[in-house]
Formats: sequence, C-alpha cells, structure tokens
Amino acid sequence: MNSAERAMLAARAASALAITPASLASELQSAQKKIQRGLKRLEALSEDDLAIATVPREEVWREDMVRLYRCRPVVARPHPVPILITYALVGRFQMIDLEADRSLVRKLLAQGFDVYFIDWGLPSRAQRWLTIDDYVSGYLDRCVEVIRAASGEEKINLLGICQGGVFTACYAALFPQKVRNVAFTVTPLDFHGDKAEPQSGAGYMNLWARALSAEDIDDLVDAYGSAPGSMVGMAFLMMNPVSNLAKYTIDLIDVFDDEAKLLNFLRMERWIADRPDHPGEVVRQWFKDLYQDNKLIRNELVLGGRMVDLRNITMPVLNIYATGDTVIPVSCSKGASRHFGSADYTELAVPGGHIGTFVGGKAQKILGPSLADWFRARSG
Amino acid sequence: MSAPSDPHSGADSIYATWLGLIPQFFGQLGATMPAGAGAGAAAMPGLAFPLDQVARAATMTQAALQDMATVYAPMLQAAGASGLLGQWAAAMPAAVGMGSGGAASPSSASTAAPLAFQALQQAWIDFGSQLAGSLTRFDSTAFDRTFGALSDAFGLGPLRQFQAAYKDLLAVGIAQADARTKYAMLVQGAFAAGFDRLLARLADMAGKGERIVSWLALLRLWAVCTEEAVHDVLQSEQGLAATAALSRAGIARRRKLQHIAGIVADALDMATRRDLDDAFREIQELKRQLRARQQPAPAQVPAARPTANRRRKGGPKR
Repeated sequence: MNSAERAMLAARAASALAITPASLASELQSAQKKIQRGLKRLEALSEDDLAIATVPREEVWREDMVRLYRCRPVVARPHPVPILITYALVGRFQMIDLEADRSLVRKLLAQGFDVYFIDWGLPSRAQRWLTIDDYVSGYLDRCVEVIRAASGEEKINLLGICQGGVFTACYAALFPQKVRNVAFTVTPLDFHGDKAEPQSGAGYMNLWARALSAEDIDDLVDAYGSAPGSMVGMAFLMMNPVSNLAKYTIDLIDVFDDEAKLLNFLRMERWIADRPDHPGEVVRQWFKDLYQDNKLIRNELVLGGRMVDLRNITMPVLNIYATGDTVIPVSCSKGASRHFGSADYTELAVPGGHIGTFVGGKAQKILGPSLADWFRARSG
Repeated sequence: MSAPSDPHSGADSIYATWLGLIPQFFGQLGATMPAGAGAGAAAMPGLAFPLDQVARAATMTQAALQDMATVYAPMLQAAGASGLLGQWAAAMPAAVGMGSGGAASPSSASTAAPLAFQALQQAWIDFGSQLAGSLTRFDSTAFDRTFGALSDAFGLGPLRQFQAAYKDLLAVGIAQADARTKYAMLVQGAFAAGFDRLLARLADMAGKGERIVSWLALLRLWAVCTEEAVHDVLQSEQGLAATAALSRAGIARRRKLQHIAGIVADALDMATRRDLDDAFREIQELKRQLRARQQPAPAQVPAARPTANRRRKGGPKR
C-alpha cells in the first residue's frame, strides 16, 4: 500500500471514530479512578489472598524433586478406583486447583473420587540428564505402584494433561496391565497434525521446532543443559506478544475495577510466572522425537529400549481437546481413535483455550462432570 | 511438602521484560514516557508476588494515559479523528508514511515517536534474543567483567587459546547482530502491517455505519490488528527462518562464551561445566541401574488383557 492509498484509507477509517475531546477526557478520568481503586485493592491483599492450589492434601511419596500427593477425600467412602493426575513439566500442577471455585481436583473430589496428583517439582542442574523414560518408567511408575498398594486396586485411572498426557500415553502403552482407564486433556498426540490445518496464531511450537534442524536442537540442549524456566515462559508469552502487552496495560483497567477479576488475574499470574527449568534431555527428545519426527503417533518412540506402541492402549480412552487451543492445535489432539488399540474411545471438545480448559467458566461446567461420568461408568 | 518456587528467579525476569516494553507499547501510540520509566522502581515493595509488579504496570499505564490525554485532546479538538490517526501514523516506522497524507500535523509528541519505535525495536530484539537463548547486553557485560578480570588477574590474556576463543566470540557476535537486525526488520514490518490492518478494519466499520466511541476500545482494536499481523509475519517462512537464525546465533554465542569460561576454569584447575555434567550424567545412570534392579524386567510383565478390569483381591503384593 503506498502512502496515497493509505491516506485515502485513513480518511475513510477516521469516519468510524466518534471519539471527542470530551469523551476522551471522561473515559481517561474514569480509567484513572479505576486504576487508583485497583492500586488500593492491591495494597490490601495478603499472601493468603493470592494462595493457589490450596486443596487439602498429604504427601504420600517423594523421590528427588518429585512428590506424589493424595487429596483429602470429601466423601466417607470414595470411589475405589483412584485417579492419578499427571501435569506437564513446562508449568506447575497448580493449574488443576488454581482457585477453590476453579478447580478440576475439587470437582472430582466432590464427585466422590479418590484423587492423587504428581508435582514434578523444580528440576535442578543435576537433573539435566533426565529423559522421558526416567519420568515415565521411573517416577510415574513409582507413583502408580504407590497408589496401587494404597488402594488395593490392580489397575488405576490415569488423567494426563498436555505434556503430562504424552507421558501418560507412553505409560499406558508400556504398562497397560496397571491402567484401568486413561484420559487425555489438551494432549498433543499427532505432532504434525497442524500441517493439514494450519491456523494463524496457533501451533507456534510446532512451527518453531520444524524450522530448526535436529542439530540445532542438539546445540540448544548442549548449550543450555536444562532449558531455563524463564526461557520456557517467554516462549509461551511470545506466542501472543501484543495481546500480552495489552493484558498488562489497557486490559488491567477493567480488571482493577472488579475485585473478583483482580484476584483471578493475580492468581493466574502467579501460575504463569512459576516456570520450572526443563531437563535438557527431555527437551531433546520432546523436540526431536516428537515435534520434529512425530514418533509417538507412528509408534516409533523408544523409551528405555522399549518401543512405545499406542496399540497397546487397549483400555478405555477419553480424549479431551479445547476448541480454541492455540498452544496444542486441535488438529494435533483430535481424531486419534485409530491409533489406539482400544475399542472404547471417546472424544470430547470443550470450549476455550489451552488453559481455559481448566479455569474457564464454560469449560469448568463440562470438564469435571464429563471426566467424572466417564470414569465412573468404566470403573464399576 | 515440596519447596515452593522462587518467584524471584524466572518470574521477575519475565515481568521485567514486560515492564520494559510498556513505555514502548504506549510510545507507539504517541505517549512520551521515557523508555524504562517505572520499570525499575518498586511501587509496593515487600508485598506478595506479583503485587508490586502489577502495581508498577498499572502505574505506568496510568502515566501513559495521562500523557496521551494531554496530547490527544487538543489534537481531537483541532483536527478530529483524522488528527488522531495522523498521530499514530507518525509513530509508525517510515514505511507506513501516512503522516503527509490527509492527516493533521502531528503534535509535539510525534517527534518522539520514531525514537519510541526504535526503542521498541531494541526491546523486541532483546525479547527475541531471550527467547532464542542468547545473552542480553547486560549478561554479556557481566561476563566480560567476571572473566575478563579473571583472565587479566591470572595472566591468561596473552594465551593463544584464549585469544583465539575471544576472536571467535567476536565473529559470532557479528553474526548475531546480523540475525537480530533481520528479525527486527520483520517485526517492524509486522507493526506497520498491523496499522494498515487497523485502518482497513475501521474503514470497513465506517462502511457499515459502525462507530467506535471509546478510546480504550480503539486501543484494543489496534492491539488485535497488530497481533494478527505479527502472527502472519512470524509464522511465515521468512519469519520462521529469521527466528531460527536468531536462535542459532544466540546459541553459537553462548557456546563461545562457555568455551572461554572453560579455558579459564581449566587454567585455574576449577571444575568446568563439562566436569559437572559428566558427574551428573554418571549419577543419573547409576539411578537408572538401581531402578532397573528394583523393577521386574519388561519381559516379565504380564501382557495386557483388553477387557481385564477385574479388581484384584487384597491388592498388589509389595
């Protein structure tokens, strides 16, 4: 567009603006007042107000930086088959219990389930050599064993989230004899699924990974050891840089004017900012074997010398994806039925984005109850 | 209980990036906040994370809005909405070049606008570099001070190995600057395209008889249009290639710095990064062997039974 064309366009555009000096002054005065009120609200908040993941729980196992928690049941006789929730390494488990009224864990507890979850903790430099197999056949398997022993159940229910869903899929394929039912939420299964349905603003990680060579990934891991949490966090924020800037500026104005919104915002910020370092060898496998070579869906992924064959997943499968997910494009999650050995495969779409699945108002009404119904129907 | 995360490690650096970008964000729109204004000073020191950081962002927003009101009110009075769009166009890079056509003369703030864009560009470069894993200028200075002083103190400077490594570092630094420039050019193009997109969106609204009466709504629409343009550019083949090049350049520089640090550490008989990695790798391998001894071999694990959902009496034997 040349400058003359742009000038003509601007002249037409200007007629859509009905902002006057008086309306501008009034709006900005209102915004200033909202910010002032918000600043006062901030001053009054305490650590307790901002606490996240406060569901009552007890630590039942630990190794290295990993912890297994059992949430305190809220019914006298919880459902006999426990659920183990496995979150990703790129964020903290607190997302499943961000706030009391936005908590997947509490919803499952309220439905009478016995709920466990893994906190992967904060890997240090010493953990840079951990591989996906160390997580799957090591920590995750130990957690399952602890729960099997405590519950007396031969098989337990697994619920994997995002990267934790991939770990869960690998586990269910390698140790099917210990898994009663498996549910995935916002989980990338076909890492090249986005190629068929490219979408602006979605699938950055897929595109970045494929724009690099295998040697680039090796260089990255060798140069960094573990990927610093701040770098991982920045990568996520870079997916929507302008709207993130708007979030910390002009969008703050309305947030500041509503106490409930402000608390939601601050608690979410706590979660967003809390990024653990990512063990380097997991990064290497994650990007080379999965994002670049798509080995999971091709049954070519090898962990600890064993092939991960999704056809071994013969137990019931529930696959939940978010219709507005831009981190894990829908096309990377849905339509995976044919890849599993299960004859009982269910797919469920929930509204919202990747994280909105767990904290969004509409998704909250669907996710917890759907999971509870599905597990209950298959755990009798 | 697990140890809580340290919110002052990665979180602070992420917030520092956002806070540093806020003046440039508003500078795009003609506000004359100095770069870095408010980013460093604590608004609510001692409060729980992220209260202070959010308070700083809000305070900076407040100042920017005040500044914009001062600039825009007389402009709207004199030239109406055309004046407003002219102000924004003046804040865009020269490629947009709308200032001379149809729009009112930009106010005094417009002279600061190109500078604001340059600052935004630099901020984006640092931002992208962090993503790509390179060191920022601050990190590089810290490195030079630490290891430069060490090498001087121990007489390592003249060593052929050290000199060669330093020469390599300079070479990759040049390559990194080139990669940064190419990336910044793309970002600049994306912001210009975002402004064009805003104009088109507004013109479309005007054609339908729709009106925007809120200044903040206009800002939000600008953000949406710019974000769309940024996505299109950064997800294009060219954008991905530029991001990958930036990443490679950052990694190359980091490895050269590590090489120099290794030379110094070796010379002083200190443990190097490789020594530590070797030790950690060995520990991890021993843990794997221990785990393998504690678990039944895969071949001994019973095969999966497709419909086996029976509960085992008495639970698993341990």
